[in-house]
Amino acid sequence: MSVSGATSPRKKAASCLALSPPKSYSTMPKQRHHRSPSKRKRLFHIEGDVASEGSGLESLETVEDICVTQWKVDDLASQLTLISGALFRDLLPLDLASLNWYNPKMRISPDSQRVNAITSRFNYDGQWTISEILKQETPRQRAYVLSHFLRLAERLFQLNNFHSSYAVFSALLSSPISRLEQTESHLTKRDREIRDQLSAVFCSDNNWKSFREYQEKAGYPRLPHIGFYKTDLIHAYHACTNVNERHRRLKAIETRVFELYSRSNYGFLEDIPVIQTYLKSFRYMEELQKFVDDSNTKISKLLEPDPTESSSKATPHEQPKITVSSKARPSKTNLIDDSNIEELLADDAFLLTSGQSLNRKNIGNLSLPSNMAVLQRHYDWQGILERKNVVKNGRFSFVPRWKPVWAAVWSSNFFVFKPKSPFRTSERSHFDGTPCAVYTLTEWKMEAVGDDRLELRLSSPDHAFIMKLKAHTVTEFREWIKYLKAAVGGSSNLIKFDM
Amino acid sequence: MAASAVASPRVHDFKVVLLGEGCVGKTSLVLRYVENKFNEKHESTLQASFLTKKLTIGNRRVNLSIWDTAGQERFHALGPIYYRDSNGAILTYDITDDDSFQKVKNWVKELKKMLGTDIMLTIIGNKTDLEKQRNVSVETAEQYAESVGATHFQTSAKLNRGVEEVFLDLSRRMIEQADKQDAEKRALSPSSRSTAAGNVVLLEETPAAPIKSGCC
Repeated sequence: MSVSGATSPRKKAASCLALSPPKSYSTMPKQRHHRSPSKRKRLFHIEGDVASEGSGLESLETVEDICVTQWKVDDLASQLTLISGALFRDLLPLDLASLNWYNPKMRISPDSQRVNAITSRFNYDGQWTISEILKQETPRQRAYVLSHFLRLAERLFQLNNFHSSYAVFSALLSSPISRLEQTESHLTKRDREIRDQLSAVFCSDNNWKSFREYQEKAGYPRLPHIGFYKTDLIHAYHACTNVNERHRRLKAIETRVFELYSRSNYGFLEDIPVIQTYLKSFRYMEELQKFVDDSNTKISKLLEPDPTESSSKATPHEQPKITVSSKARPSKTNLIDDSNIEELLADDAFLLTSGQSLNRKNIGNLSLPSNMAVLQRHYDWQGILERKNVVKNGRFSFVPRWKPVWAAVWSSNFFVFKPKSPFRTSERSHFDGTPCAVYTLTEWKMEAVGDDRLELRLSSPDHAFIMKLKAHTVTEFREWIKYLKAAVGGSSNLIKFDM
Repeated sequence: MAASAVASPRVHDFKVVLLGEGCVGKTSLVLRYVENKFNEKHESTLQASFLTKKLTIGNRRVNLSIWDTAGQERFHALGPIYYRDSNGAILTYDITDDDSFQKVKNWVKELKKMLGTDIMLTIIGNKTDLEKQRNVSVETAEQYAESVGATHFQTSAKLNRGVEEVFLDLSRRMIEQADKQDAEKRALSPSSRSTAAGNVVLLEETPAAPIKSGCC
């Protein structure tokens, strides 16, 4: 099976070198555009029928079923560029220099939102990259998708879209991806060349000298990576005690950044709505990033366990790459039930047929059903609840107490946010921004504890977690029941509940 | 261990990365430290975010390159790119802001996971000039720092309190760590990779001493 190479839509990317001198695209002919995803079918892809969705892609399930390799690198690159281009176009002079984006109290001011939209898109693209790779079950499949992303980063680079190119590329350097040595061993020589060329430019040495220089010389149209300029701004601010001097310097840096993108016109790229919809359809909440990271790491380790626990340091692309025959690897046990997962991993065919056989749903209780599920902008339902942990991590609480928490549900995830102070717990701002726990309620059991007490009890299948929840009003209680019922997986799990 | 301490005219090049939530005072701190150099040197280029400092500790010369991440905290994926190959990390929190202390804990966890014990950690509670609004108690922070093998300092970048000591202590520990790694390297086969100290110049290592054990 020629998985990584021959069949891919890459001939163009392969023929022109990533790091050839930057071109001006103003005279470029119109791009061909593909309204339908590439027809190339692969045995092991769950092909989401996108065309029939129309404007669809609303549901998370659909998004999960679509594989990024359905679309050509060129098309993904052009659409990512158009999406990010719009964010840069919205940026106004002084948005950066005002430094409001750096002030936590100014998060909601329009200028900081415009700046932060760019960072969010950067994070989003990176998370999307990681998720798409980790979604694949076998090293070969992952290498295939990884290769697609490498070529995407290269193509974005050729489009002078350094913002998106770097977002994708830095995601490939992240620990959940860079530690995947088996995947790495399936990359082609060409893939490695692209990676080396990109890392040579995106090099942090001498305060990003090569990256800055390349970016600044690249010509138009261009979308710059603005990270280091942001640091420059902060430094300029703190370094100058004289107000006028400070203002002059901030302005100078801003002008310089503004120059980089202000005359950019990517008009020669055609809109492909279906891909843009896809590229905007993931759900992403920055406050949950910590959980996504943990989940990514766990999935990554489950997919390719560390050969020895001690060598788990991240030295991306430095160690000699060993192609380990899957059967020769030391035996590893499942993190959850101590079963031997070696057998599962040893047999690619098994993984192909079994789909979610790695049991991602249950990688510890503080994990998420799938790393992509966290990419959501809104919870299904949220509010204040009283919570009492009866059993936590398999242990009975000594003296369980009711404590107020902010709780939220979406899909089958239940989030708990602790109050910042025990004395004020009446509104959202009184609780932490990031959840202290995330529970995946699939297969959990929900029971109403008493008729009038507005209480319910949630227990995990293995009874390692049992908690009681109490709502304040009947209306709220009904809503909680509705959403938690959906979360645990429908009415069949709802025992002894009459309302 | 005594080996390299006596004879070598070695210069240590250390990379130190500054991490922590936005607005906790990372930049003020490092600017305090390298203050005098800053203004004239970077005036023309406007590229300020990379700072160096030379210092001598005992008979050792140390070049610190200090990487500030201020302003880029929200670029989530960039953390690893900054801390890669670092010999030391300064994790700063604001004593008036408990969230920023939680963020430090997250960083410690991540650094330990990714770099093991090769990286020297210093935790700093900044803004001691705002003592009245303190939300993170000294004991909590110190206990935590001890539990993860980090040193803990309290500073006020604004009043220039405690800043010098932070870098001095960290440099000392990085030298010790480099010595330890050298010793290990000599003890082990020469093929073992230099770990975190990617840019340490080893003047004495040139003759390939294959199975020369212990300190010479």
